[in-house]
Amino acid sequence: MWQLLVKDLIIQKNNFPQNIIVFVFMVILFSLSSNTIGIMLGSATFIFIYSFAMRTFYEDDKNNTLRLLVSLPLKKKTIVYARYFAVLVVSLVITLVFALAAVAMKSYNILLAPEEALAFLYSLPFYLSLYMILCAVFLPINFKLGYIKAASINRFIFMGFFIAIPVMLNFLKNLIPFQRFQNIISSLKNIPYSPFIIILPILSLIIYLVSMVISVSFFRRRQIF
Amino acid sequence: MEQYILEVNGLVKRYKDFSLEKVTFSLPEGYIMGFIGQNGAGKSTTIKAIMNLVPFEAGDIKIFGLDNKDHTVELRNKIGYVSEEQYFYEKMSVDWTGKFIGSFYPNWDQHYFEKLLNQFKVEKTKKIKELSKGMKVKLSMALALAHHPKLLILDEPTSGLDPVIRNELLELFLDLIQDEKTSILFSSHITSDIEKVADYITIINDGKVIISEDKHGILENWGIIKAENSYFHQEIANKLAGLNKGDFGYSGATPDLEAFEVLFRKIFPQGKYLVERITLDELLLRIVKDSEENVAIIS
Repeated sequence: MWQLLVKDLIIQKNNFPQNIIVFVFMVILFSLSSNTIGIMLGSATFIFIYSFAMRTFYEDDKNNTLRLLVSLPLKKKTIVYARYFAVLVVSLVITLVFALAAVAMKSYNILLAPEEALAFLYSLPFYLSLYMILCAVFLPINFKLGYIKAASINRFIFMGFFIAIPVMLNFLKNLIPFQRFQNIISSLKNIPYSPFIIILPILSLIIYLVSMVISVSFFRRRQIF
Repeated sequence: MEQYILEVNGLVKRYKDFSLEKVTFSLPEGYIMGFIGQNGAGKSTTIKAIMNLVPFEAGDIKIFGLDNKDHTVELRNKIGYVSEEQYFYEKMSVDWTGKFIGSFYPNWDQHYFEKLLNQFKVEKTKKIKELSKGMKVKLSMALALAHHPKLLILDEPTSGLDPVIRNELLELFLDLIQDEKTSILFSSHITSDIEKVADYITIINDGKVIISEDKHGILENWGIIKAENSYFHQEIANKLAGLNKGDFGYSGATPDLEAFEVLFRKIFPQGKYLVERITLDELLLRIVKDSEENVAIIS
C-alpha cells in the first residue's frame, strides 16, 4: 500500500507549484475584494486537497494505469485503501502547513490581524472535516465511474456545494423569524469550541471510512478491461 | 503422469456480441503453448480470465493446482504477464517504473531487470512517453521476467516488434524453459513465431477452442489435400476443413491423413491426390474459413 501512496505523490509532484500559484492568486484576489481573508484561506486549502485527489484519478485514466495496477499481485481493495490514505495524508499535511502559517501570521502580524489569524487557526479542523466529507462524496463516484465519466458529476457537486451553503443559509434566514435565527446563531456561538474540534473531525473520519467501504464495493464490481 | 501448470476447464464468458464457449485446454509444466486465433477470436479474453482480470460466468481455471479466483495475489507472484497493450505512467522513467512494479514482487531481481533492459537496449533513464511501442513491449517483457516467474502469460508479445527483436525474444523463451520448470502461454496471430518455439498449440476461433494438441502431432496428422475435381465427392468434402473448390480441382485440410486415405480409396480406388505439409498459418486460415461457412470438420 505504501508504494501506491508514494506513487500518487510522486506522479503529481509537478502539480504542487501550479496549485500554489492558483492559491496565491485566489488569496490576492479575495484580499482585494473582501475583508474575510481568513475564510478565503480556509476555502483555498481545498484547492490542494481536491486537486490532489482528482489528479490521482486523472493520471490513472489518462495512462490507463488502473489496468496495470489491477494486474499486479495486490487486491483491488488495497488500491482503494491506498488512494483514501493518500488523500487523508495530503489533507492532514496541508492542514498542518496552514496551521503553522496561521501561527506565523499571528506571531508576526502579517496578512491577517492576530485575532483573525487565531480564528483561522481554530477554523482549520472545521475546514478539514468539511473537505474530508466532500472527498467522501467525490471518491466513490470516481471509483465507480472513473475520472472522465465522473468529471461532470464532480463539477456539479463541487459547484453545488459552495452555492448550496449560502442559499441554504439565506433560505433558513427567510424561513425562521429573524429574532429566532439570531438566537440560534448566538447559542451556536456559545457552544464551547473544544468539543467541536474533536467531534467534527471524528464524525468526518467515520463518514470518510464509510465512503471507503462503498468505494471498495464499487471498485470490486467495476470492469477495468 | 504429466503435471499441468495451467488448466482451463469449460470457461464461459459472455459479452453482448461475443462469448467464450466452454474453452478448455491444459499446459504441462516446462513447455511453451502457442495460443492462436485471428483478431477477436477470444485469445485476450481467455488470457484476462486466466489472470482473473475479467469475471467469467462458468468454468474453472487452475494455475499450479490452485483456483485463480481464490489465490489471485499468490498466483500473480509466480506469473509474468504481458498484456496486449502496455499501460505505464507516461511521465515517469523506465527506472522508476521498474522500481515501482518491482516493489510488489517479493522475488524481484533488480540486477536481472537491468540486465534485461541492457539486452533489449531500453535506456532506463528515458521517460515512458519517449519510448516507441516496440520499446514499451520490451520493457513489459523485462518487467514480466524480472521476478523469475514460473509461468509466463504473454498476450501478443511479439506484435509491433521488428524481426530481429522478435527472434531474440523467441530465443529467450526457449532459454527460459530449459529449467523444465518454467512454462509459457503465448498468444499471437503471427503463427510463424509460434511454429518456431511452441510445443503445444491451442487454436481458438469465434470463442471456441478448435484444436489443443502438441505441435508435432498437429503438423504430422494434419495435411493439405489437393485433387482434381474428377475425384470430388461430397463425403470427402465433408472431411476437409476450409474446402476450396475451383474449376479444375479442390483442396482442403484433413486432421487425419490415414483416415482420409481409407475414405478416399473406398470411393476412388484408383484416384490420385496430393498431400502437402500444413503450416499453422494454413491451418488457421482453413479453420476460419470453415467457421465463416458454418462447417464443422473437427468435433
